[in-house]
Amino acid sequence: MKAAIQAIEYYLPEKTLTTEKLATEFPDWSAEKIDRMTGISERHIAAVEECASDLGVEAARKLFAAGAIAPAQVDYLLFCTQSPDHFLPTTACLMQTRLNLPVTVGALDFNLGHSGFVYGLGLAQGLIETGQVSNVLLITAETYSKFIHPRDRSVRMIFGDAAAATLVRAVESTDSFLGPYVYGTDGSGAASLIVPAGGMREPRTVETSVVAVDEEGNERSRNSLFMNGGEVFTFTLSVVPNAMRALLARADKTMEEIDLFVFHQANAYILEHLRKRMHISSEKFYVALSHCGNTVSSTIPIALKHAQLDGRLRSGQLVMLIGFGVGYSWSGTLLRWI
Amino acid sequence: MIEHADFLLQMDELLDQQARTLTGSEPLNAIERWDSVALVTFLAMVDERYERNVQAAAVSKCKTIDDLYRLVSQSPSN
Repeated sequence: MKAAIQAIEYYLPEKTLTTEKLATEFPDWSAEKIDRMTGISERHIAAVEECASDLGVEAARKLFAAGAIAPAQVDYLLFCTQSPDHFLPTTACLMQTRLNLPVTVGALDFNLGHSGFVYGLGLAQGLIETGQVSNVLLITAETYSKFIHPRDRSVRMIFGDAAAATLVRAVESTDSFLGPYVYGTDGSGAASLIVPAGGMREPRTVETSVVAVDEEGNERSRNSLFMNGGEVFTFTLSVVPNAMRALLARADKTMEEIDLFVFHQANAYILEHLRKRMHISSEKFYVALSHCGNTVSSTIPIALKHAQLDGRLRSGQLVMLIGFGVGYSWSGTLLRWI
Repeated sequence: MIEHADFLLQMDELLDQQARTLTGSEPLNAIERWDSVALVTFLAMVDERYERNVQAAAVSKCKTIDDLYRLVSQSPSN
């Protein structure tokens, strides 16, 4: 038995934040400047009462409605989020009930950001190819907007809320559809992309709610998401090319044998820089973030879905996936599209 | 060896101004366009043109254009 991605669906909340709106709110940067750096036209923002689990449930329902699988056939739910409904219980347990999954289903949350989708594929493949289960529902969902101060352009212009549901199934085959993998972790970069307060290390207090203004006029408190864009850029340049080389070496493949490169859709500027740095042709490098922004763990499945819909991703093709970001954490794998 | 004149030309282009505007002594905090976007563009330019690995934290300690030049010149190759 081999694990393979059978279907992907995604869901975006209704409310949007356009680049034009951001340029109106922060007039010292034009819409053109924001667009040039991010490549994002609009981000979708969860409603006040809408949580990551709600987005994930909608994405999974689209998967069921498309006939990819029935709820009763799912035997494991992997839920990747950094914005869970509660500290406890596990959000995946709440989603089991809402999705009418059988009570015999295995379900767990895992807390990863931009590297989470590839990690999820690795976990799903392990569960399937060790014979534990046959049908894994991998849901990635994030509502970073709830961590973002409304007067912080640095992160508001990048991140959007979304969820993706990916069905990983056991198929009769001697050929692999997933792997090998490379993983990486460097916790020394934790402070570069962080919500400092709100967990057990630094509970929310009146003091953590005090808003400070940075040198560019962005406002945030310690309850808010902070990103040091320069540091994250440096990190990306230092790990992604090496991860690509390591993955190719582990797979005994060359760049020319890869049909499509789908990286975490961080922003258009960094993606284009990585593409040129690694000498990847535009035709083989997939970008799909204009309509939704950086959706953290859902960027790769959203891009895969678009590549499938527009014919860039076809049966039998070999795809390189690389996720990188918050942690720092990174991951890469090769995917043979079924 | 990174040519000082070439570096200044790259910085002029990055800051969206006419060639040979900068002399090197300009304080960064007096350059309106030197912001977080310019920082990322700078890191990308250094990586692409000079193939040097510069840390963002080191850039933030620079006070002038020539400080940036010295940092890039002394940074290791990729």
